[in-house]
Amino acid sequence: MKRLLWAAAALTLLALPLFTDATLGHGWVRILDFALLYVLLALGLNIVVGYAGLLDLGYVAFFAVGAYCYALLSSPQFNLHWPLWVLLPLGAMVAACFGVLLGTPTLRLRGDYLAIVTLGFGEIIRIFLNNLGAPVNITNGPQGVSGIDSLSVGSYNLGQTHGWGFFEFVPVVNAYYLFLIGVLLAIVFSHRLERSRIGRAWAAIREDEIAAASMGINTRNLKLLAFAMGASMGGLSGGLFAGFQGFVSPESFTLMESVMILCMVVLGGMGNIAGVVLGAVLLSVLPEALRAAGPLQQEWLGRVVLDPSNLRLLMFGCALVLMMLLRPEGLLPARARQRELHGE
Amino acid sequence: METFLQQLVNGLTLGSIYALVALGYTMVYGILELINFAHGEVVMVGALVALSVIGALSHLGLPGPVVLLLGLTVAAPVCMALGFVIERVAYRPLRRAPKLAPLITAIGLSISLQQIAALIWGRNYISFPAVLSIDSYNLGGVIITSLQLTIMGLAALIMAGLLMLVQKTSLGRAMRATAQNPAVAQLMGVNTDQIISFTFVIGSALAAVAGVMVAAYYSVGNYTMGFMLGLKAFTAAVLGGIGHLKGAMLGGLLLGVVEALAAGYMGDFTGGVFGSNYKDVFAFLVLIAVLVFHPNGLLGSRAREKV
Amino acid sequence: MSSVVKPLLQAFDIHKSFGGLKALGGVSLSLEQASITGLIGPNGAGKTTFFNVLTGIYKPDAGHTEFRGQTLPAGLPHLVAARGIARTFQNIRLFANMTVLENVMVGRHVRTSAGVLGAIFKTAATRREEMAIRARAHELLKYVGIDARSHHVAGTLSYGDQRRLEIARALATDPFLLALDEPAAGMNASERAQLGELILRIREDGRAILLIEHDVKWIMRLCDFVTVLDYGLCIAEGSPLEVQNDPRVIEAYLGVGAA
Ligand SMILES: Nc1ncnc2c1ncn2[C@@H]1O[C@H](COP(=O)(O)OP(=O)(O)O)[C@@H](O)[C@H]1O
Ligand SMILES: [Mg+2]
Repeated sequence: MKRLLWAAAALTLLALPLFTDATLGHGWVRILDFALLYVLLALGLNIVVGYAGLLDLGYVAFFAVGAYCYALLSSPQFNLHWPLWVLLPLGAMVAACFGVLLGTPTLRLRGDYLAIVTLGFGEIIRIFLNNLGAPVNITNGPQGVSGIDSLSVGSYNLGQTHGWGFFEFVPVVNAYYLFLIGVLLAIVFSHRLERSRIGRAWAAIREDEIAAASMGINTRNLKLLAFAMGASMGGLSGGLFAGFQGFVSPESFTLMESVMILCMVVLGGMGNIAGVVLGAVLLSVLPEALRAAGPLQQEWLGRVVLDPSNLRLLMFGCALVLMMLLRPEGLLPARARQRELHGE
Repeated sequence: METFLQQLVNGLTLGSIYALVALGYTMVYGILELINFAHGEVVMVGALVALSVIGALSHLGLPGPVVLLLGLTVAAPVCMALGFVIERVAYRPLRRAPKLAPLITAIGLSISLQQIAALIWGRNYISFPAVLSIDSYNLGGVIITSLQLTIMGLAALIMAGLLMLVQKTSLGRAMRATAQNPAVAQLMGVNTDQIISFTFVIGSALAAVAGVMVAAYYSVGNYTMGFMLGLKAFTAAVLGGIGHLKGAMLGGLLLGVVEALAAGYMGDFTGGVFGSNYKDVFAFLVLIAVLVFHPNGLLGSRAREKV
Repeated sequence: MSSVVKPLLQAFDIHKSFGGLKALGGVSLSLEQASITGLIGPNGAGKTTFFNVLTGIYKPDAGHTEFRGQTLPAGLPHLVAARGIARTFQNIRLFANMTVLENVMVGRHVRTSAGVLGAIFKTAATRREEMAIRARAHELLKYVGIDARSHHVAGTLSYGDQRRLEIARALATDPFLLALDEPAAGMNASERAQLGELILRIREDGRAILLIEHDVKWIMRLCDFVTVLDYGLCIAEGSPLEVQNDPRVIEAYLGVGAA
């Protein structure tokens, strides 16, 4: 029975993009692709916030590092065209290094200070990306890097349409499968980490850092590890993003993006993989429905009174507040969180 | 030398504004140990409300300072009410929740306020109507405007008043008692809930003043203006020693000056590699450096957690 | 009381102040192998502070400690735990939202080694280690007598059981020295007696115990040695009998003139 359910779920996941493409069009498959990238990001942030209890408000910086890493080494910018299997791990590794770099001086700080410092770090990265177009052109400044090579696995170029018998695999569908592999790997990794010696140590640090240290846990190293692991998932996601979009610019890596990822983790349920996945999917798909709000207003009121992009962010902001007030453990809470907030 | 003095004047002006905002962070932190992320947004609301009022009155031909004052008279109560509501809605229900919770509502609130402001005032920059006639004085090559003098003077006056309030009045004593130990203060008959509300209201009034000053100083306002300002003011509060009133004032002035000097000299020092477009980075570097090397700030001292 | 064997632990002239307050004004202490030593003294005497310095939670202003022939790292609690000192806390500090079993499993952290890669790829070695951790945790829960509660959430246990769990968690680190900060506080007479038996059993396993306690009668019966702190200074030490009759101790406990 259980096996049957798994098979059905797997089949649904595999068929979803083809079905969506056939019924709703490329646009919606693209939305699914982004949902998967956000799931990957949210799972990464979940390691930092959900497992280790460190509030990171600059998480998008690691996404940016991964994306620029890919963009600079696989585009006309420096005329480098490294392959995917080098770039993705490299991006993850560089992001992890940035995670350690940020963590080393700051992890001794109290939780709320850490939040501010990570936020600052996120902004610093963005400011550098914005300004490293001159005097030496590294990032091409605010214009960003374009003409990035499309994702390709071996000789299979995901940026092109491939017909396989009856099915047609357009670029957005190809990307879906690649991203899905990334997400599934991230889920398995997260799950295993959570139930390991390392995961227990993270939970202990989150619960009581002093007691954890007295039990022989090297709290600094384990927090750094959480930062690095989370960052590497962000970096991986960034690489996929760059290859998929073909274009990156600093604008994609604002604080709002960090907040949105945090929102996904919080809404779904910090520390619980299923919750985080749900939060990420909801918050990346639902706002798309709001896009319709603009034309609707045009039709009914004669003009656009409420800008849809404002509405979207407003929704995120209110969701954060309301979730904390009404259901702080998230939609699908982790066991420990529920206890923490409501007792038994 | 002239550049130095000029940047000093500019820095002190900006620093006075930072200090006013930093006071709001520091007072709330002193009592609740909470970073009120939404505080920067209160500044923004103050600025935009004042801009609207001033815009509406600018055709009446009233004298500039009067118009400005009227703008402030409307902005201050709006901000105070906002501060009151923020505490009631977003923080009070979470006093006993884990630390992460109020921090997350604070972020959520900050974003919500920005977006609401964007819906009300639009996304474009609103410029400050030309109601003020600003005189400039040239002191040996250093130019100082009447507006700068007003900002610094007013900020100094308000800060002196705040210190008096906190140190000399019974209300101030209740505030200090609450900051030291809320449970004990409550036992001694202090209505700590009221004191906390009051703290938010006072902080928000200062934010309104700061908002009007920023709008006048930069001549523009926008729904995003509170964010960076808030962060910098928070940096100033940490620099001075969070929870410490005089620390916030000192930290604000210092950060203003440091930033102005950095903006003035960064290009020269780095051979043009890093220009003044990196000045926001600078504030963050100051923040990180302070937190890492001297987390208690310049004037602050905090007992560490008892085990 | 001199012995040929080197003492397990020797603290030399430990100083610690908080602002103007001198919590420890030069405490020296020596613990024998497999002994039970009581650390007593009035409230605020500095007993907990001494524990915190010993276990690396605070850095001493001056002084150092030698443990099993090596100087203990100051201010690094995880290294102290690795050297073989484990502790409990005066105000219980369990991982309240984790299960009883998980709490003890965390205690095994320092004696195990599985890393990220092992966890992600579930290598044979990692699985073996994980099984051993679980088995050892159950063993310890049985040892302290709360194995029946292993899947309860730690925070929901009764006060006495939480104290036991803290001891089990500490024992999971395989300590040579177990430092207990007021483990009997809030317990009734029969719980106290049980705890006394548990402590004696731990000693029989060859571990030394350093014990803070207020109930002088209880501690005098249990301990081999007693050290008395007052205002951050060591005012007496020796066998329970010697200490009991020391006029300075009587004075510290009963106030001036009572002697
Ligand atoms: N973290 C701290 N900060 C300031 N004072 C402290 C701290 N820890 C302990 N003290 C003070 O040091 C003294 C000794 O405390 P403690 O060691 O807890 O005493 P005991 O455990 O013997 O009752 C007390 O006056 C206490 O208030
Ligand atoms: Mg004590």
